[in-house]
Amino acid sequence: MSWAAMAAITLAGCNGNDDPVDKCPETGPYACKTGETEPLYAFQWALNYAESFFQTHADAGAYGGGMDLNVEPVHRQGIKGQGVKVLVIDSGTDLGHEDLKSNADYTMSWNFESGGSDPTPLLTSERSAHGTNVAGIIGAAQNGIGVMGIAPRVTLGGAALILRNSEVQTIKNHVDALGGAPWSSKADIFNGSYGGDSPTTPAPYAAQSMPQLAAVRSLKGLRNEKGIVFVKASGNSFDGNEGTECGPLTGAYDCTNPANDTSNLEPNVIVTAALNAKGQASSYSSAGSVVWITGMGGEFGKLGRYGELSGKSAEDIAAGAVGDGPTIFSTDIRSCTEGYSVTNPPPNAARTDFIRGVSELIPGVQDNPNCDYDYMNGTSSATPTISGVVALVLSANPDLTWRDVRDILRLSARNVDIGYEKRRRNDQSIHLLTPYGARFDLTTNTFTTTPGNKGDIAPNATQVPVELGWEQNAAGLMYSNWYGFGVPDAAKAVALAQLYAAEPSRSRSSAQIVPPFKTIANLSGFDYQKVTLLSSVNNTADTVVDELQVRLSGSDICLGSLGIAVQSPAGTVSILKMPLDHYVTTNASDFSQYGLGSYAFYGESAKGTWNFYALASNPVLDPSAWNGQQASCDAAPADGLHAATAALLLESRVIPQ
Amino acid sequence: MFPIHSNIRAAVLSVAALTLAAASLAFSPQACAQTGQSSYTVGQRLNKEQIRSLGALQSVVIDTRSYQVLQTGTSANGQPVTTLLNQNGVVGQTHHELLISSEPTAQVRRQAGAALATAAEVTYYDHTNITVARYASLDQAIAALAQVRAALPEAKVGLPITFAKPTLY
Repeated sequence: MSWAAMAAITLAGCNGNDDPVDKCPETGPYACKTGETEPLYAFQWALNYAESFFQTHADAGAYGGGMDLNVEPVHRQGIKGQGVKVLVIDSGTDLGHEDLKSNADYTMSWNFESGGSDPTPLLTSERSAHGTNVAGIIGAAQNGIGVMGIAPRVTLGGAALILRNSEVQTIKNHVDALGGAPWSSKADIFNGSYGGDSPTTPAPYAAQSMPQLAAVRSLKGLRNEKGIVFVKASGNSFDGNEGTECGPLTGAYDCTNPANDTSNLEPNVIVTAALNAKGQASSYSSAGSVVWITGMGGEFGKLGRYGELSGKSAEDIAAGAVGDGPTIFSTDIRSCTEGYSVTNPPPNAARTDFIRGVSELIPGVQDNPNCDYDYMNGTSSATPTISGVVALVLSANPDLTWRDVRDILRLSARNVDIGYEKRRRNDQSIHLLTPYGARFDLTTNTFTTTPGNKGDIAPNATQVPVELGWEQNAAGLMYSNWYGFGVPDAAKAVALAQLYAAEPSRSRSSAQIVPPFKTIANLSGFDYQKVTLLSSVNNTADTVVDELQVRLSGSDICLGSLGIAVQSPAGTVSILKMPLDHYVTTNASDFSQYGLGSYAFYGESAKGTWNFYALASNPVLDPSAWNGQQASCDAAPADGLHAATAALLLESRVIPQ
Repeated sequence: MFPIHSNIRAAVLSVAALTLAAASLAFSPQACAQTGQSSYTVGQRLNKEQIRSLGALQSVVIDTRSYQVLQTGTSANGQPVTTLLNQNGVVGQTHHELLISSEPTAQVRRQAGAALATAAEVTYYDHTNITVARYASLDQAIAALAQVRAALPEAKVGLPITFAKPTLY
């Protein structure tokens, strides 16, 4: 009997709540047991929030009010990722680690730097622990040592590809890793805790220009035509990094965009944001309208013994402040001289007792004596938490297509941090006086104190919100640029997977018709500092929306000062691009086929009139406020108002379900 | 049945390709043949003063967009590489790879064989309808781009320039 069939029988007999099932399909000492068998499980709040170490040892600025992924009911049913293969496309993975080796598959692995099938990071020039952390979050084994992965019986492979070494960044290598080579094409899930934002020049959204796009699109035909599921990180740029700062506006909103990685525009890529242990978006988590789901990433874990302290005063915490807090515990490159857990961490890294290998949760017993375990934050960590949940889902029902998996994540998701747009930021790095949902003044490039709403986005308006919070669309679905459809509940997701098995008619084909883009506006001249209706398009196709996409080509127009919002026929509004983003610092004024997308309209009827708005800020910036960065783009008109020579071509398409 | 993944090296033809590459380097005063790491970083933006100081650079046109050639050479692993500057002053890189997608590889072999014959290496991904052809020189790749497009009008054919390397989050 296949594993899936056994699981189906088991689930059919379960009582639908958290109680153990009558008959466990697993055997052995860990059969149908949760991660309580693993010594470091107490730190894995993403798997058990209520009983974690942090519940009783963290301060309230670091922990409390959050949630986990509700995986324990699934583990108690004996569903732990059996039969599912996950490829970690990353910096390399130490598959020989004591907590990974029993799940390792070297025939599903490749090291592009060393040219062999061993993806260990010690064979790459960077010796990075990133991929080893990612692998452990997904599938660290349940074996009585270390941590436990979300899918502890999954099969793991590693591709050492995302390296600074430009020699490995060839098209062939990327196509090989993304299902082109025999070793990668046998995976069920790809985990991509990486991204390719292009801060200096916007990348064209066209398969002939972006090699990853062609490969990503081809994934739909793999896994016996059910499609490899590709889970990918949204990015860590909410607060700016690596030159993507937004001057005085940094931290008030995400001035990058996950859509700038063109792969993230593809419907078969599940773009993942990060949540912290306070139940709020991690301070770095990139936001945008192509985010589909949210996993667990935590904060930075720099304080306390295990990252349990916020660094905020009791008074600040009482006033609602949040600060630093725990991250995601996982596997590290073995040894106290390699990886993130080392005897003497670098100055900017977490230097807690645990990271240095000297902590003792039980007096006299070192938690991490060999520095083989560590913790890591980022959407890089959130992404494998979702890959782990997907592994559980596919373990319960391997016949699901990529579209089924995506829908099941959405259907199981919980809306979190309701009303966040009314909050004012006050955390470890930034204190703001205005709420996230305040109106942004397009003439002064500053925030007002007045809360905004989607009704403010209208022709000739000069103040608009840049964050709409959770919005319910006409299909009844709640969507947020910060969280996508929310945080999945693994138990509910697995139950849905079983329901799909029992009722196969629920399944959607892996094939999806993607229509070509159509030109909807071709403008000469452009007005800044206000909202302009660029195009109003009557769509006669009677289809249901999966994703709305927009593509921009322009010359002599400051892309960094051009925001885009779209209103659906049902009245739902989505902000696809901020009115002032990181392109203001890079002088991007000549661009072609720059792509944007939104899932805010998912499930709505595509039929009717769609309105496309430009939210144009003032392209003339005050150099003193921008710390020496390029203050205004070359194409900015002297008065900052009307650019007579600007040209803008707008294309759009609705990808139907 | 497992999908076929074939990798064909044009061993004989690569000699001619390399000869052409050498000629291109020898007669292009702007081209700076080198081995090892480029002195530019992919995604780096040069300001007007920096660009002016480079003097006259060779220009190439790919997909109607003009680029200036900063460096050509061979990477440490022996692959040809060209570093370019786009119109926004941003540094990009190509390994002279042509990407052909949305076209069955059998069709690519049949209809674009002549253009692909000059490649140093062609990889056919039969199960994903993708073909990647690597050329010894950028000039060869640009010429092949036009030829393959003409031979395969329904295919998506490109010579991608990388302006941002993927980074870990």
